[in-house]
Amino acid sequence: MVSLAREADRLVIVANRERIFALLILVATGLFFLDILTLPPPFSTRNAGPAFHPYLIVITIASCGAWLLYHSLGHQEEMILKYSLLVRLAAFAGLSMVYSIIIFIIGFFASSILYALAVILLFNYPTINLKSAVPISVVITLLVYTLFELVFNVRLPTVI
Amino acid sequence: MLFIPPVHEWIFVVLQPEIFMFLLLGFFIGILFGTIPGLTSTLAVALLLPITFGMDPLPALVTATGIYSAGIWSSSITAHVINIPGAPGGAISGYEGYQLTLKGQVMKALRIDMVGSVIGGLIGGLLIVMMIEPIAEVAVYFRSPEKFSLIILSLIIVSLLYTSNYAKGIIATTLGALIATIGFDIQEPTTRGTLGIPQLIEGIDLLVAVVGVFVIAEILLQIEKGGELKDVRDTFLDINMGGFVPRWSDFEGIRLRGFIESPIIGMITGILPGAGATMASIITYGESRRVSKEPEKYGKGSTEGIFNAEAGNNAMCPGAVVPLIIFGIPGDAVTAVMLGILLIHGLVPGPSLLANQSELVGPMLASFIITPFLMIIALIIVGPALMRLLRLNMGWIYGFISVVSIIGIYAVTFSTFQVFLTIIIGLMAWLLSREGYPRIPLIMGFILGPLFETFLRASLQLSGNNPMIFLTRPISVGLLILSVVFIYAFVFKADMSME
Repeated sequence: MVSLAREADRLVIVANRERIFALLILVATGLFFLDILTLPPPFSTRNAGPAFHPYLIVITIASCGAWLLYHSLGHQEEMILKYSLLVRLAAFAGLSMVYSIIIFIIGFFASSILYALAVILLFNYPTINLKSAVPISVVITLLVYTLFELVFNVRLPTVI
Repeated sequence: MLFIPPVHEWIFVVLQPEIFMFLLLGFFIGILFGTIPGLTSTLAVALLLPITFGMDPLPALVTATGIYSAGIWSSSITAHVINIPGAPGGAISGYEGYQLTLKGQVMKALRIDMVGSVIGGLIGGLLIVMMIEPIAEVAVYFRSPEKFSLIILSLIIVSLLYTSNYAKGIIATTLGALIATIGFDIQEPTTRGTLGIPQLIEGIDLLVAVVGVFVIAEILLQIEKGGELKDVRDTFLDINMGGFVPRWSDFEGIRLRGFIESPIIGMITGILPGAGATMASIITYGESRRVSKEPEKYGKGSTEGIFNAEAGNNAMCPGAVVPLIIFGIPGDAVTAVMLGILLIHGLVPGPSLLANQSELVGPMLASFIITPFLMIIALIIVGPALMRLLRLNMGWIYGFISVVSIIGIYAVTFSTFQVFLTIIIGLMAWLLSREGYPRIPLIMGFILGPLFETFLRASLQLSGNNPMIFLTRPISVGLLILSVVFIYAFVFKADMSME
């Protein structure tokens, strides 16, 4: 179902992506189904109950997932994953999470300048031009500060 | 009795400097986001959503209207110039416009686009302002079964419109509905799908879902496409101001009928919940081609095709807010976010919203009449500058967007968990999007899912669990028949999907 080949900056995966994704969706739906099995019955016989709508959802997703699975048989496709791209994508998600934590430790200004700078560098990779990126990060932070704290009176985190 | 709405009063409210300033601001943001490939008016309104928390309702709604109108209009500008639409709605007219660009007539394409957009927006806006009251009167007859059938229609349209792989469209919509089930049940004191996480008991906020699906996922997709955007900047065209003034000769060959017909078709398409700009431009373009005296010119730079597609998708905007205001059912992705703005300010959509809050809804609708005039001024004065926007460093723009989205979530929820949740939803939406599962149905499913459940359970309670209630009420039956017609049209008759 899956074959892997490593090259310099890339991982070549030959796989049936449709089938893998359909399977993932079916597994996730199965887990959701197990969860709704634990829901209590409706209070009265005139009420559809809390599990009724989730059951409809499970039936719909499972039917379409099965249809996709059936129609994906035999479709092998080459997918090239660049390590550098994967690192950048993971870095953006990770940086955003770190930003939401360190904003309470080092305050809005320092954390926002660092976060904006990191995002700018991620977008312009592999070019690194700190001469323009640093001032722009400061401008972005000041703009956001003006918008939220000064215009809309939202209290932004300060240094502890 | 014929109701004549106080349109002039609504227009005067919008023209007051403190309100007009917000319309201009929204319009400018809409142009910025519509013109730059990779940014969309949906993204702009999604970013606006947390910001509106600190605004009064009318400025917030007027700003969103400005973004919406300008975003839809300007999305075709880059399509004409470099064959990359700022948003999917601009793709149809952009295809024809780019053929003119290849013949050295880019300015002609942009002028026709502008006039079509202005006429479409103006007629659509006027019609909606005049019709909103009668529509609201009809809406009073919509009880739970009728509303359920309307949501079925809406779910069918959004599931089938955004991808030709209908199974993926249905899965995306249903996944949105699944995410919306997390939290307390709507009628009974039990929780669903919380995985034992206490922060999920209250469910997932619309803001978190919208920013995750439209902002975080978009940033991830753009990180992937970094190289393509560089190419776009390199194909920049130099355009002067005088070239934007329309000439009579531009409109030779465009039938007069299209001036009225396309805006009406566009507006009616907008009223259909879930249809949006893409469907409006597809239908008006298709109809224009069908009745054209020169159908052979279509696909080779037809001015008539550009004009009618633009008139249709700009007339769609005012139409799309009708189901939002009257039923709380968004007409497309942007109005889905506008629903969030209404809810943030404690405004519950429904016929009573128009009756009790006409001082908010009226000026919002009147904004659609004013924005077409802003289009003329904007294109003639800032048209050349718009083209230079393509040279902006995407890293700078997305740096700003990233900070605004994270701070926006924090400002509204004051919770690191909600920021984490936004990023997780964004990652999920990005992954789905990469595999061909469209994001708009995902968010529409998230919004419509709880409404679907509410009206389904209320209807079944009303009928003692008898599903025949949906087939014994005329309006409900009509809507279900319309749903079947749409399924037939999409699946069996022709490929009307965006792809």
